Amino acid sequence: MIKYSRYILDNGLKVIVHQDKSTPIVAFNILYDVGARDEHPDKTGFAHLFEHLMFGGSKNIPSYDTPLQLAGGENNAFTNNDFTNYYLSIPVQNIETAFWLESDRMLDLAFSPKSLDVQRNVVIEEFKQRYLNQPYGDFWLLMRPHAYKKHPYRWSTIGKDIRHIAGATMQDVKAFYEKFYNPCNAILSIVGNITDDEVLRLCDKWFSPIQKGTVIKRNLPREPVQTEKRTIRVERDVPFDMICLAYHMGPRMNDDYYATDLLSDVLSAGNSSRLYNRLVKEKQLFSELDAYITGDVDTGLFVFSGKLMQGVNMEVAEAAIQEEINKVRQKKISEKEHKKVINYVRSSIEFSNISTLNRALKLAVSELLGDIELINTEALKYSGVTAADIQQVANEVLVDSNCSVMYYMAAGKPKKN
Amino acid sequence: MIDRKQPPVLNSAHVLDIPEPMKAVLDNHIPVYLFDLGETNITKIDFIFEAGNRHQSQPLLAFYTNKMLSEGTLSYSAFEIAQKLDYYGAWLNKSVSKDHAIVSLSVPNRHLKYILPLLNEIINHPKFSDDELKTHTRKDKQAFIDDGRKVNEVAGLYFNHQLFGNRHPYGSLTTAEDFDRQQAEKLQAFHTVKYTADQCSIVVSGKLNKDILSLLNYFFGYTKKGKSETFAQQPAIVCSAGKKQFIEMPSSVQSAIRIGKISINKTHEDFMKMYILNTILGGYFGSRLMKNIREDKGYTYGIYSMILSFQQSAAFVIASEVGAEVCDRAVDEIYKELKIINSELIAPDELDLVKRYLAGSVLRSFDGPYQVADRFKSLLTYGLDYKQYYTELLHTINSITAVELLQTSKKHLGADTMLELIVGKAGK
Repeated sequence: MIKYSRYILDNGLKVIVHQDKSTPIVAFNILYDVGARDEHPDKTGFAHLFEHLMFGGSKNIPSYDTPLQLAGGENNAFTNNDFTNYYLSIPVQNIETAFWLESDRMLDLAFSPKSLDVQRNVVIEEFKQRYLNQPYGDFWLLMRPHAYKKHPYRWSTIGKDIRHIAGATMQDVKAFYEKFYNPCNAILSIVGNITDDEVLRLCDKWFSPIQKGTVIKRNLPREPVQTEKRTIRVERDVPFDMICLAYHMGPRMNDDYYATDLLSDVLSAGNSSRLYNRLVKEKQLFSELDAYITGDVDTGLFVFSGKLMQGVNMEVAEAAIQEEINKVRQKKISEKEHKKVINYVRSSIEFSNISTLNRALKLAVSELLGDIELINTEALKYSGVTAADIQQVANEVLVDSNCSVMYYMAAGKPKKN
Repeated sequence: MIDRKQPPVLNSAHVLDIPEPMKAVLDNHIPVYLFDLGETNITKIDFIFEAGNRHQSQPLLAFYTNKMLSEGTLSYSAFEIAQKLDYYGAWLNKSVSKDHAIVSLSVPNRHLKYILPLLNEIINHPKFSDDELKTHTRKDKQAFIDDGRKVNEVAGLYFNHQLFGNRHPYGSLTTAEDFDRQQAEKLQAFHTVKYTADQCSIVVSGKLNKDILSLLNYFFGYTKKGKSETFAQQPAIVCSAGKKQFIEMPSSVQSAIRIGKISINKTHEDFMKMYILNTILGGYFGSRLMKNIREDKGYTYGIYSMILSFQQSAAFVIASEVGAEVCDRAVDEIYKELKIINSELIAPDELDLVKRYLAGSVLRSFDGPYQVADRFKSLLTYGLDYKQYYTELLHTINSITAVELLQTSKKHLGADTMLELIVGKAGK
């Protein structure tokens, strides 16, 4: 049981406190409810670029990092399609420094032109390092617009196109900040040896004076139901062929989310999983093969992705995955396999709760999803999934008309048939 | 109204509590170190063997002996092992470094007793088969070939070689063909000689069951000491390659940079000073290299320097991936920073910042039982007393002066003593 308290300040900032007396370090997490899905289609990559700019100094504090380092703290941040998350860890006796720094950059940024110039370049180098200069690196840049036609999940957090980042103006940046970086659009969660009273006192001092901002109603285009299988084929200068099958699944808060996640575990979690044993080890069709869910807040994807062994034909590889899909659709998993995946998931949850930063993030995400108790009920929800539930979601999700396939072919190698 | 320009008063870091492990010895003299800490009902057991790359007679032998431990034993097939581990929610991690082979198990306490018999099989009775081995080497070879397209991977591999030379096992190059040369028989022989009681230590951490020690003794205390073979003298480290090397990967949009040299390891009297110096130069986000090459010039997503400490040597390495068109400029800036740190005293403000940052960083690195055990393990293999070591490190962080750091820099980081490797697109 993770005990926590939940408060909402007058300006709308949600505050969650989980006291853990065992550690001298506090995990301090601020989640802003803005992600790549909130971007304009012509200005993609913006939420992530903005995350970089949040370190470029705020209204009253010229440098974010230096005072934090002086306080013995460390920080980082990440952006995904759904939200932007900033986190730091700091010795408890210097916790006020975290309040001071985070409240000032929520209040107002410095918007230095130099910071925008430099961070544009840094993000462009990040784009190159992660997506362009790696074999298979552009895979998700291609797969997203293939699987999604309307919903903004059709672009990656890094953006559709490097030019969107290069073209970001100071005006764009300011408008984005004013719209999204407000107390009413943020969740603060704190884990460490600190009492509610102390947190509330510091919140009152540092966060309460900040203007609420306008509550944003999200109104994103819905992804239309896919009605037929879609296939694309690309060629790239890579050593081996790769295949990806992506199926649409329900949003994160759907009841069958847990069954769908367990279905992916049956297929692919751990070395005893079906795909690894049958297709990687026995049939030796793939050098690696995974099945996983993206876990997005809105309708996500159930993904199979695998690299083919040299000499294996693409059709053979796809048929083999299809055969495993058919099996899990036609026959309920055994009691033993059912017990195994539930144990596996329970254990993963226990392991991930060791870290205070992880707990702080999970609390914030649970709050974002609208049910903070998820932090404690999640394990039970997994345990409650039956073998029949898993078979049912397999039959709902893993159907041909719901599938987007990509053949990512190694260019310039002799064709085999 | 609060004055937001005024930072909150800082308190100096919390006094670090460095817990001592309980020490025990199994019947066969394997030393066991137990950290019974925290409230998390997960036990982590690390087996550390003197069976890393340094001890192998051919490339990948140490790696595959370690990897294949759980791919079939006297009583269980690879699949049965995997099934049991997953069924009991146990995580088995195996890894090999230049010096050691590690087998590490994390398991919920309630399942510990079901897993230990299996762990005994994995560690003491593996059965290596050519079929299983071939399945792994074939797919790993493909991953290795993929890695050969990554500038960063290629740079890592070849810079090691440039530093240590091909004769010393620290510098030997792995090739794709090495994957084809693995034989179960050789793995079995390596296991017999190297995975023995006299070359093993065990570190346990978590909220421990009362009977943990007797369980460990029952399952791991019965094996023999082994042959205690003394290995032939390791060949000398001879840097055979040139001082500057370039490996062309014409289609790259970024180039990987490595600049570094052979350095001192944790047993050296200057190591702690080097650790602080390295932090200043490239060891944290506020470092000089990061500030200059990322935060001022925007040439890269990240740049770091590090000291890699091994049993018999060490390497100091600066690493980054930078835009192909700005590679020359980035390299110039790196040498500029080296020259500055070699010739100028560190300003009081910067030194104060790094001291405070490091004090917090050491405190963070002791946060929780598994982290404490990691700190302990990182010194155990050097024969260093970890409590004494960290106490001294904190003292050094507090007391070190700019003059001492400059002397350390002149002694160990001379810009003209560095080797250099660039992997990427050729310049104009």
